Amino acid sequence: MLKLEKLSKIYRTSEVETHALDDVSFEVEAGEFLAIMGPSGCGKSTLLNILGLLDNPTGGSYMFFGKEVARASEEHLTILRRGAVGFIFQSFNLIDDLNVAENVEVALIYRGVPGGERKRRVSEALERVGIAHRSRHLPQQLSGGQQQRVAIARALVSNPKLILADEPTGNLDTANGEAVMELLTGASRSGTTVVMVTHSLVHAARAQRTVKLLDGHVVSETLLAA
Amino acid sequence: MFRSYLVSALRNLVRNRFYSGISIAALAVGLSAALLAALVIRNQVSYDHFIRDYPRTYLAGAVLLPSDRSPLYDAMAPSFVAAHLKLKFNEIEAVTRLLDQDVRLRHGLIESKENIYWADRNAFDVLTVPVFAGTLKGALERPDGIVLTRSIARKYFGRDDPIGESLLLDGAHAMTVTAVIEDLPVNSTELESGLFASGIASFSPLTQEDNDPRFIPKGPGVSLGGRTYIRLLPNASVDRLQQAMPAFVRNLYPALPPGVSASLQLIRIDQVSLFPPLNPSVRGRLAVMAIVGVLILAIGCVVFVNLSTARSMSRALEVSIRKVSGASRGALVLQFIGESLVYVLLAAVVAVALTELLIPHVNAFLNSGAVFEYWRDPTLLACMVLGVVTVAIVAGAYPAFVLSAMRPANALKKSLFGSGGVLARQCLVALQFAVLIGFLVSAAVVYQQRTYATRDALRVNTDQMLIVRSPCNSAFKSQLSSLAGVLGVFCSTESFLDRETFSNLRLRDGRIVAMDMVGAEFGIFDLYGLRPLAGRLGSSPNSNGSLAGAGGYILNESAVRQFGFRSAAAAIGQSLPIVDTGEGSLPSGVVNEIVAVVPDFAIHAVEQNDKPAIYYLPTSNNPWGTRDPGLVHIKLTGRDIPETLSAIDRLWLATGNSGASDRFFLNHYIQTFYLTILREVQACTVFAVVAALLACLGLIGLSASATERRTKEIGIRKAMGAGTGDIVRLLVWQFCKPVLWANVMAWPIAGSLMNRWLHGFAYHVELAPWTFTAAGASALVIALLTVSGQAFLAARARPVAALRYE
Repeated sequence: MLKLEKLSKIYRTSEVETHALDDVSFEVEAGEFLAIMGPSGCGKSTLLNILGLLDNPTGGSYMFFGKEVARASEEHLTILRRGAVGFIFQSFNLIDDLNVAENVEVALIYRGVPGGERKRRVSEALERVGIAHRSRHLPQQLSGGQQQRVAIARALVSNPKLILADEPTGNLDTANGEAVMELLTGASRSGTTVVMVTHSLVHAARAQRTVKLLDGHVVSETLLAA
Repeated sequence: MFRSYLVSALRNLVRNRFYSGISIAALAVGLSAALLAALVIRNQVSYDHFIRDYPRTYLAGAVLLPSDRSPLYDAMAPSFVAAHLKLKFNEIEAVTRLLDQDVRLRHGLIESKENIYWADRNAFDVLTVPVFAGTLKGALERPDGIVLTRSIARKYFGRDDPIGESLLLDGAHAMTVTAVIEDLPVNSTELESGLFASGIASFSPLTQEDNDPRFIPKGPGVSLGGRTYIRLLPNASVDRLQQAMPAFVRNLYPALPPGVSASLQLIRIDQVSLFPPLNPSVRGRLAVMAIVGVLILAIGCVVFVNLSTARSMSRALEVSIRKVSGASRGALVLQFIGESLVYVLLAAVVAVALTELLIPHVNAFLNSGAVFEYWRDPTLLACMVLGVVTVAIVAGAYPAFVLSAMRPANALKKSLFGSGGVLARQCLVALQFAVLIGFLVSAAVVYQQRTYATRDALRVNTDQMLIVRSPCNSAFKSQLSSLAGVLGVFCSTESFLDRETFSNLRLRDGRIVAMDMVGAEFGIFDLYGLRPLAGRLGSSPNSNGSLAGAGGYILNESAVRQFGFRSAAAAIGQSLPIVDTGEGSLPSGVVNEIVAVVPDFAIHAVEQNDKPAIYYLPTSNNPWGTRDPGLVHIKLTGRDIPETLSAIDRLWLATGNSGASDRFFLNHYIQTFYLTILREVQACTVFAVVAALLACLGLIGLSASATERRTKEIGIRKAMGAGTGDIVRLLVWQFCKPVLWANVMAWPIAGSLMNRWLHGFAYHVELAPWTFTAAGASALVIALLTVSGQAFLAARARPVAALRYE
C-alpha cells in the first residue's frame, strides 16, 4: 500500500545541509499497524510528514496506494490527502476558535460531504471516542486527554485509509495514553492502516511491526507477536 | 463550509479584539472618507438633475474673443438673442430667459430683501421644476404672477399653498401667487433663487431691456442681460448648433470693434458648475477630492493588510490543520477573503454612521448639497455594496494569499513565515507615511501661499480700507473727509477692484491691444501707499483728484511695455498712442498726456498675470468715463473703528439715502477671493490629521504584534544583559526605517505636485527645503511617539516572564 524506496530528505540553507532522511526503504501493508521509533532528531517526524503527503522527499520514490507521489505538486498532494489520510499530533493541534464538534467537522468540510451527513458522522465519531458530552466545548476547556480524543475523532471521522500519529501519547498521562492506544488499535483492527511515531516501547508493542530510525537511516525492522 | 468559515472569522475577531478594533476603525475611516468624497462629487456632477429634460436643456452664455487675450465667458447673454435663436434654429424646441434682481417683498408685517428671477412666461416649459401647489402652466402669463418655493411661502404666509395671495414688491407692485414649487435642492442647482416673477410686467427689467435701445446692438459694445436657456428637440445635435454660433452672433453684432469677435457657448445645464471658464478650479478640486478619498481608503486598507499579515502566525495552526484535512489553497483564499468581508462589513456599518454624522459639516465647509439617503437611493446602495465587496477583495487578497501559502509541515513546526512578509509590511508602512508626509507638505505650502497672496503679493496697503458703493458726485462722499477717524476719501470704478472692464484699442502702429480701463481719482494711489515709478501723481491737472475739469492718464508697468515705451520715465509727457479707443477716437481738447506710471498691482490678481491698465479720471469728457464710478474708498485711521463706522452710517442716512449702505472692508473682500485657498489649507490640514491618525493606528497594531512575536527574543536579550534603552531602540528602529524611506517616496511627488499648483499663480512663494524636512521630521516624531510607549512596556518586562512564555 505504501512503498518507500531509497527515500531521502535534505534541508538546505545558505550555509548548512542537513540530511534528515537518507536511503530509507520499506513498505506498509494495508491495515497494518506500524510503529516508528528512534531518538530525537533521527527523522521520524520528517518521515511521517512525507508519508502523510505534507512534504516532498528530496530523492527516492514513494508509492502511495499505487501512485508515485515523490514529485507531486502541492495541489495534487492535497487532493490525495483529502481522500485518504488522517493525522493525530502530539500537541493535539485543535483550532482554538472552533468547538469540539466543529473541530471534528473540519475533516469533512473539504471532502464535499453534505451538512446533514457531516453532523451525523461527527456525532458518531465523538461517540466512538467517548467525548460526545463535550461537543460544544472549546479546546481550552478540555484536558489534554480529552483534546487528544477530539483529535482522534477528527482523524477517524472521514474514514481514511491511513492514519498517521506523531507521538499521540507524548503529552498524556498513562491512563489517557492507554485510552488513546486503545482507539488506535481499534482503528487498525477495523482495517485502517496506522503508522505511529512513538518513544514508548510499551506503546510500540501494540503495533504489528516496528521500524527503528537512527540519523535518518532505517537500522532495524522488528515484527512483533500478534 | 461557509458556516464554519463565518464561525471561525467571528470568534477570531472577538478573541483578538484589540487588533480587530484597529483594523475595523482604520477601514471605517477610510470607507467614510471615500464615501464622503463620492457623495460630494456626485452632487457636483448632478446639478439640476431635478429638471426633467436636463439632458437637452442648455444655458447659452456669451463668449467674447479679444484679439490678444483668452476668451471671456459669461453665464449671461444679451437679452434680445433669445428670440433670434428661436427663429433661426429649427432644432431649438423652446427658449426662455431669467433675469435676477434684488427686490424687497412684503406681506403683512413680514418684509425681506429677496433675490428673484424675472422670467419669460414659458420659463417653466423649459425649466421643468416639480410643482407643489397650483399649476405652472400659465403661472407667469399674468403680469402680476409670482411663483414661490414652499419654504418662501411658509416664510411669508405661514403655510405651503398661498395660491391667490398677494406680495408687495418694492413697496409698489402687488404680485399674486399663482403656484408653489418644491424647494430647490440646496447647493445642487445653478438656480440661486426660488422666486420667479412674470417678466411681462411693465416694471420688470426684462420688459425694460426689451424696450431699451441700448441693449439692441448698434454700437461696438456687447451688453449682457440675464440668463438664456434653450431646450433642444430630441435627437438634435448640440455640436452642429454650437458650430453655427459664431456666424449667428456675427450677424447680430455687425459693429464689433476690430479684433474682437463674440459667440454663444451652449453649456448643458448640469455641466455649468463644472465648466472651467466659468468655474476654473471646480474640476481640479473634485479631482483632488477623489484622489484624497482614495488615498485615505488605501491607508485604511494598508492598516488592515499589515495587521492581517503580521498576525498570520496566530492563524498558522488553523491553516495547517485545514490543509492537512484537505483544504485546497483556493478554499483557504475564499475563507480569508470572506473574513476580510466580515471586517469590511463591520467597518462599513461604522462608516455609514460616521458619514451621516459628518455630511452636514462637509456640506457646510464645501458649500455642497451632498445627500446621503441610501435607503431610498437604490443606485447609491448598490454602489456601496459593490464598494464593500471590492474593498474586501482588494484588502483581503494579499493576506489571503500569504496565509493560504503556508506549507502545513512548516506551520506544524511553528517556523516563521518568510522574510518576504516583513518586507512587504515595511513597504506598506512606508507608503502610509509617504501619504502623510505628502499631506503635511501640501498643507504647509498652501498655507504659505495663502499668507503670501493675501499680504505680500498685493503690493498695496489694504489695511483699514473701507469701500462703500455710492455715487461719487454725492453729498455723502463730499462730507466723508470731515469725519473723525477718516484719513482720506477717493472714488473709482468697480474695475479698480475686479479689473473686468477692458477696451480693444487700435494703436498708431496698427496693433490692436486689449487693456483694462480703470476710472479713479488719482489721489487714490496715495491712499493705497503706491509710489509712482515715474511722473508725479500730484502733477495731474487737478491735484486733489476731483472729477471736474481734469485730464491726463496714468499707466501701470505692463501698459508701458504694451505701448512700446522704452521705460516708465520715457512714457511721461507722451500722449496715449491710440487712434481708436473701441468707443471712438480720443476727444480733442482733453489732456491726453501720460502723467505718471505706477507699479503693477491688482487686488485679486495673484492668480492672473499682470494685465496692462490705463487709469483715467472718470469725467464726462472721457470716452470711458460717462457714468458715475460708484465705489468710494475710505482710509480709516484705525482708531475707534466702531464709532467711525457708526458715523459713516449716520452720514449715509443723513445725506438722503435709505436703508443700510453697501460697505465692506477691503481685507474681507480679499479674503473671500482666497476663501478657496483658505478652504484648501483647512482641507489639507484635516487630511493630514486623518492620515496621521490612520498611520498611528496601523503602527500601534503592528508594534504590538511585533513585540508579542519577539517576546522570547526580548527575554533572551535581557537575560544576556540588554538594558531597557537597548530593547526600546531595537523595537523602535524597525518602524523608523520605513518612515525614513517614506520621505524618499513622498518628496519628489509632493514637490512636483505643489510646484505645479504654485505655478497656477502669477505671484507665488518658492518651495523651501525646510518644508520637506519639517514634514519628514514630523512624521518621524509621530511614529516614535506611537511605538515607543509599547516598546518601553515590553522592554521593562521581566525576562523570566518572556522565557516562561516559550
